[in-house]
Amino acid sequence: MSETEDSKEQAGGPHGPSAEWLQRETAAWVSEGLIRAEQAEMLLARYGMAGGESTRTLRWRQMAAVLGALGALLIGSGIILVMASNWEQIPRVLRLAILIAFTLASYFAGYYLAYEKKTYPGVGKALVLLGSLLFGASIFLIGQMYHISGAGGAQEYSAGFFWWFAGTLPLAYVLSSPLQLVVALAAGTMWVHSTWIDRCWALPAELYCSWALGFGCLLASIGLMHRMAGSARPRLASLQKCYTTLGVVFVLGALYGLSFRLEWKLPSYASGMSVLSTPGGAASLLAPTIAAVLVSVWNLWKGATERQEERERAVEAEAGATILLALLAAGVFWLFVSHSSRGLFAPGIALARISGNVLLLAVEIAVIALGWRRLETGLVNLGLLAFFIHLMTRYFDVFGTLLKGGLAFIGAGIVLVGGGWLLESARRRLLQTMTPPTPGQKEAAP
Amino acid sequence: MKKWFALIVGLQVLFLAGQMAHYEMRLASGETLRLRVVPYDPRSLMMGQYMNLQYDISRVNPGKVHGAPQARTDADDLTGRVLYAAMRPGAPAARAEGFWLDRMPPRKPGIVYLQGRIVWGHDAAMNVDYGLERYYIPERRTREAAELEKQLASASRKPVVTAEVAVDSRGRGLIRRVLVDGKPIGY
Repeated sequence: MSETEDSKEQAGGPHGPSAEWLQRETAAWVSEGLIRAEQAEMLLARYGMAGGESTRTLRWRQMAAVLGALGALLIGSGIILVMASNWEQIPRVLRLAILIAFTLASYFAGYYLAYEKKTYPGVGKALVLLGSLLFGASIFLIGQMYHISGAGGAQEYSAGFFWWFAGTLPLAYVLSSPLQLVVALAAGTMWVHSTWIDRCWALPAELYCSWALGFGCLLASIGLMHRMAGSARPRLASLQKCYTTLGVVFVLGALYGLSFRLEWKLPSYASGMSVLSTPGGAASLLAPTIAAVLVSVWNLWKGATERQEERERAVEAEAGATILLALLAAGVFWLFVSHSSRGLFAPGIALARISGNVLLLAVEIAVIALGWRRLETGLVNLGLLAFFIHLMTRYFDVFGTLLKGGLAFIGAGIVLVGGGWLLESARRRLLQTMTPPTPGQKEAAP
Repeated sequence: MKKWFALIVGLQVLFLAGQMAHYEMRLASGETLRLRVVPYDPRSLMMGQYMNLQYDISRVNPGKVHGAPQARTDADDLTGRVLYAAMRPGAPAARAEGFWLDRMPPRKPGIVYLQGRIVWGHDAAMNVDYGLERYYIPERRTREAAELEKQLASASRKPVVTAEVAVDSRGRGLIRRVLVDGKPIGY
């Protein structure tokens, strides 16, 4: 008897009472954040309860999905480059018709394989991804054919990214596809930045950091909103990672920028910048921050009214932290604008820099902790990477004064070790308050 | 799910076809202007090789802009604002008759208004983008474009390069072709 068959028998078979228990429990473990959805599927597969999949076929399926996605990216990039070479021999209409035909074929073949027949889900999803990349390539091909310029009267070059974003975002939701969401968010971020660069070519670093912090908070709060909605609509939960990760990247990037010594004074070349001189301009800079606060307040309200369980307190903590960071973004904006003409006094500059570094360190630790709590290795790695870059940057900053730098590192290290000691003490106290389980409790499972 | 998927894909295709039709209509129905240009060719990541076209109306004296507030002398104050160039068509290139800020003035016979955006400015001059600054070149013709650039930089008699532009009723321009000494370049 094979290992799987043996395991299936132990679990009572796919329809036995033990099977039901395992299915119920794995779903609960996933929602409690004890294991990831893929691990739950692996566990079910081990007992023959994953639609005929075994642990080995599931691993192959994941590998096929990764290879397919990489292949789609390569084909998409290749087609974009071929189109960029600008075929003069082929009439414009025919050029577009070829791209549209490729796009349609890729979309529908992918849909058929991944969602209808479900025989090749990895390859099918990769083909749908390729369709989205080809849609973007077509937009830029049209731009190329009609010689559309960058920062022209109607900002038409930037608009290409917007339409790519607007065209692929609904697909991410209809298909519950994180890959599609990655494409949509990448195009959306490019659009926001190309529009920004076109309009605010001389945006001072302090203002960019304020805006990026607000934008990151907005994305993170949208991610949390998806996570909370995920218990009722599991399809939404699969998309939260993309929002959260991109949001965290922006928050860490903005705080990293604020950890440097900034002038907190408007440079002379940017004296007439319309984003500062008009209320509309200032509102456009603060719009992501305001939106982040609103979404986070909604998250807090939903967390407070709909969830009473212990684990959901963390949701409220995340929403609260996002609000604080968004308020910090507004504070940075206010500080810069109120001192833009005469500049911040020297101790104020030093204080701003120290605060930036302390906050960055705090957020790095919070991101690592969040990643551990959610079992998201991506967040843990992101936090560790940010910590490493932060550490190296400060090391090179203070290279000339090794003594001060060394003392600063020792101080930060003591704080971290102290934090770990406090956490360990709290864990031990918690363990002491727990009563040891009785033998009957141990056998709660069938 | 299939219905929604088909609807979104259908809308994507409709958008692409509509965008192309929109540009074709603007090319076919717009008024014609020839603008004097100075080209060179950098590389665009998304769209391949192109010539970066600068026009004689790309740099404007803020003092000559109608509708600019009198108190403002620093061109930076106008960054991001829309500007209309009043162009009188002619040979070898159209001539600028004046510039208006924010709004297109009432139409005059023989004058074509071209819309642009002020992107940068200092002291006595500012830069205006008209959305006509890129002319994409097929990859295999980049050597010819480089030759043209060399001629512009070194020849004793520099060729006159112009861009033929279609301008719609809102003042938005679209490049039809680029001409060297009145002859269209073959790409």
